[in-house]
Amino acid sequence: MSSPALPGRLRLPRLPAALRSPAQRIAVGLLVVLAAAALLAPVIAPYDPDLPDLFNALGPASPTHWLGGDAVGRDVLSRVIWGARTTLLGPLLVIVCSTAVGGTLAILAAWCGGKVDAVVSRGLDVLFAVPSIVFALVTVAVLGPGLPAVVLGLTVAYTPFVARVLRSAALRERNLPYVAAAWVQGRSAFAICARHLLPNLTPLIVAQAVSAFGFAVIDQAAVSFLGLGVQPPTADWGLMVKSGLDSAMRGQPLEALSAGLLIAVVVAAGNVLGDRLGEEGR
Amino acid sequence: MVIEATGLRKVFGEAVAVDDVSFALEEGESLAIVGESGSGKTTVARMLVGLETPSGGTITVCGRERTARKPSGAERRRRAREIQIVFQDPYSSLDKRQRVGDVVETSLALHFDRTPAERHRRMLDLLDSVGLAERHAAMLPRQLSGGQRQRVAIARALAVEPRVLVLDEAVAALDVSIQAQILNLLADIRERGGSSYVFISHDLAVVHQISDRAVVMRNGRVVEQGPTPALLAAPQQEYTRQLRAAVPRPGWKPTRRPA
Amino acid sequence: MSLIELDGFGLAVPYEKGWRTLVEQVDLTIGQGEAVGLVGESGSGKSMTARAIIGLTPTKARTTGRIVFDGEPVTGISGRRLRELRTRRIAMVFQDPRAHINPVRSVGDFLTEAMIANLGVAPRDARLRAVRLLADVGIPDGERRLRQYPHELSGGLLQRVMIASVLAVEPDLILADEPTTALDVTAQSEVMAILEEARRARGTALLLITHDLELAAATCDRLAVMYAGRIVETQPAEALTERPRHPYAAGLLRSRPSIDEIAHRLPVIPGRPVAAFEAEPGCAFAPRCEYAQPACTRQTPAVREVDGAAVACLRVEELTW
Repeated sequence: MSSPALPGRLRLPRLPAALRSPAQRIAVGLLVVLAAAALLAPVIAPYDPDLPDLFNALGPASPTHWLGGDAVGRDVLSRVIWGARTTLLGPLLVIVCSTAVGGTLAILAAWCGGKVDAVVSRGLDVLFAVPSIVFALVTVAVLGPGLPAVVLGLTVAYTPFVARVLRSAALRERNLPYVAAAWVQGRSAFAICARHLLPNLTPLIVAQAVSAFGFAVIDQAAVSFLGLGVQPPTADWGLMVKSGLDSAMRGQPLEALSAGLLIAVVVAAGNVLGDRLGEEGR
Repeated sequence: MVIEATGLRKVFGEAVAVDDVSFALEEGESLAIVGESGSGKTTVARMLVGLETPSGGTITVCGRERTARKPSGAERRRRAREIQIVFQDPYSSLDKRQRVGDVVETSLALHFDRTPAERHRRMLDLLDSVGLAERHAAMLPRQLSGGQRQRVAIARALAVEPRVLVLDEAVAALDVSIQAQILNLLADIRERGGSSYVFISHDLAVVHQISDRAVVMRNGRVVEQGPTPALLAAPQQEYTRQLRAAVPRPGWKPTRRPA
Repeated sequence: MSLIELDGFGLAVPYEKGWRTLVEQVDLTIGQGEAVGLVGESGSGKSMTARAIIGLTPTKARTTGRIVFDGEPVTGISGRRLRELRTRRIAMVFQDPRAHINPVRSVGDFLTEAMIANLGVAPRDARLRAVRLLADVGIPDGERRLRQYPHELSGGLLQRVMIASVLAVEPDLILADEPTTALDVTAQSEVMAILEEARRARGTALLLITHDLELAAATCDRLAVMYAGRIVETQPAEALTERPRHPYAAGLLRSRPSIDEIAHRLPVIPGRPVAAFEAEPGCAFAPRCEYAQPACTRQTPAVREVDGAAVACLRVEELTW
């Protein structure tokens, strides 16, 4: 049974790995809805998110303001929708950058081996030892509060996380005989890495990125919560949890609850998808 | 002389994998390197194709000595046209995402200046020469059996038109009935004036079938070498005799080595 | 009197919405102290058949037919009874000993554990017995070896430790699944010799599963050749190698290169081996068989007795090699 080859047997096109179980379909659905909300914010948000309305200050949920109003009377629903933009965009940038840098380092280390690998691996170990929030705090201290500083800090923090897993996978792939065969054929190192290693690592890269995205959302929200990330009055879920806590004391819990809940949803969806994709990639 | 290896040595850390190994391969000849695990036979193969750098000794291929200096891209492609390799495991020696036709065309494109149409035709010719049909060109490795995959690996190596083909236990992982097919294929390729072989194997019966001369290795050193039929008919060294005696054949009884 | 008897045994595993047959209509008996070789290529179902004897079937597999061990049916008995059988009377030697011996426990622990737990031997006696067993399998310095760990031993030595552990329970039947495939030829020769000696001394029966017809012929009394989930030929070992009756068995023997003579071209069996579920109707071997006739693809040939051989070929009487 070692070679169940089935010539002539048509395989049905496989469902994308992310859509096989109900949990995954729900996760994908939620992320799509949130991304759409972020993109369409100007169209679907019922109010200007930054416009205070004193009559709605700490207002309860009502037909006109579904999630009520915050301390200065801005519509919470509109702020949640607009907040999706900053809350999701930052982590997205973090993941794209850290995956690009981490993936390159991983393949470089696995391909070159020897000293290059040693230097890269030790460097990553050092970065790995520092909590991600600390990086964000350092870049904020240097560059001043705001999204760019947070994104830069978290990118540095996430790179070793991505690179370490990919390095061992790349190493395993690099030691397969087909890579040796390509080398003996005279293919360049770059061609082998780009045409063979990278495509074979892609499923794992995607899985990594999806699950890391959830963590990046939490980390960025935490920085915002500390008041070091996105600055008020920009709508941001992390900030809303912070300002919402105050409102909650004064009887309007919806602001903190809705923002907090959405953060949890994104993280959970990312984990569900990432785990599953990770299994597929193996 | 296509290959001349003199005093080859390879050390990994403390361990000596290959020690003072010398042999030569004539044009059109099939040379077997025989040994058990740990004999260093695979390390020799990897040094021949440039996957390992010898710690000592020289390898001369087609009259040019392989220097330890890092070769340029052009130099590596020239060497590729001198020597190619087929590995043991038909599963991992192909990229699981690359279609069969693409495997062969990639190596054609790397070495010969042809139009895409010519390249495609040549690819089909090559597949045909290893007993695969046009329909196989569009398949992924997982759609092929072990024997078919090994044929693809052979076609990939032949695409480069090498002077020497190194076969590293190339039939060891195949079913008995498939093994015979591949051995016949290799004999055909050589008869068509294809290339010389260095056949790395632990299997004396297979070696007997495929090689003109054999080198017996043990613990990194050459124990004995000579024409294969003579070497197997009348082994001069005790170790070669033991190896030969251990091969199951009609009337054979397993024996314990004297303690 | 037969020790084990497979009667019309079959096995299928669920696949998508239906079943995939892996083994079909297997009849096989092994006598007290007899050595039988079950020979076949990949997909033949040889391993699956052997493992079914000790209840090691794939999850959710469906079996048909009967397996009777020492007068008692094995198919469908309780897990506890099966475990008892496995620990006392039938033992298995695997292809890769490293995968079946706990790497973090010493050889001594590995060998004595079963004796202490299953046979109720006192720990000190168990160690003494382990040393004796190691001597039996050609490992003289047993005391030292007992203190070693698996990674300190070569594949050949470890396989002998495995055999010693099997002998420790003094089983009536040893199932050996490609026990020497991962070993060098010299180690293979020794391991088979040791297995044979120990077996003869104790009157233990053996079922040797292998792809190597020559090895099986040299070490077994009787051979059964499997193809696509069925046994196509059963004969005494010597008779089968001298005069195979089934075209597949004959083809296997001829296509293997010989160390004594060189064929200009090896006589080959065209095509590739198939598993039972891939086989066409009729004789599964027919598409690869040079003697196939239209009738061969119409019906599955029944096993028939011809001159002391049991052969599943329509043309067995006319064909000779």
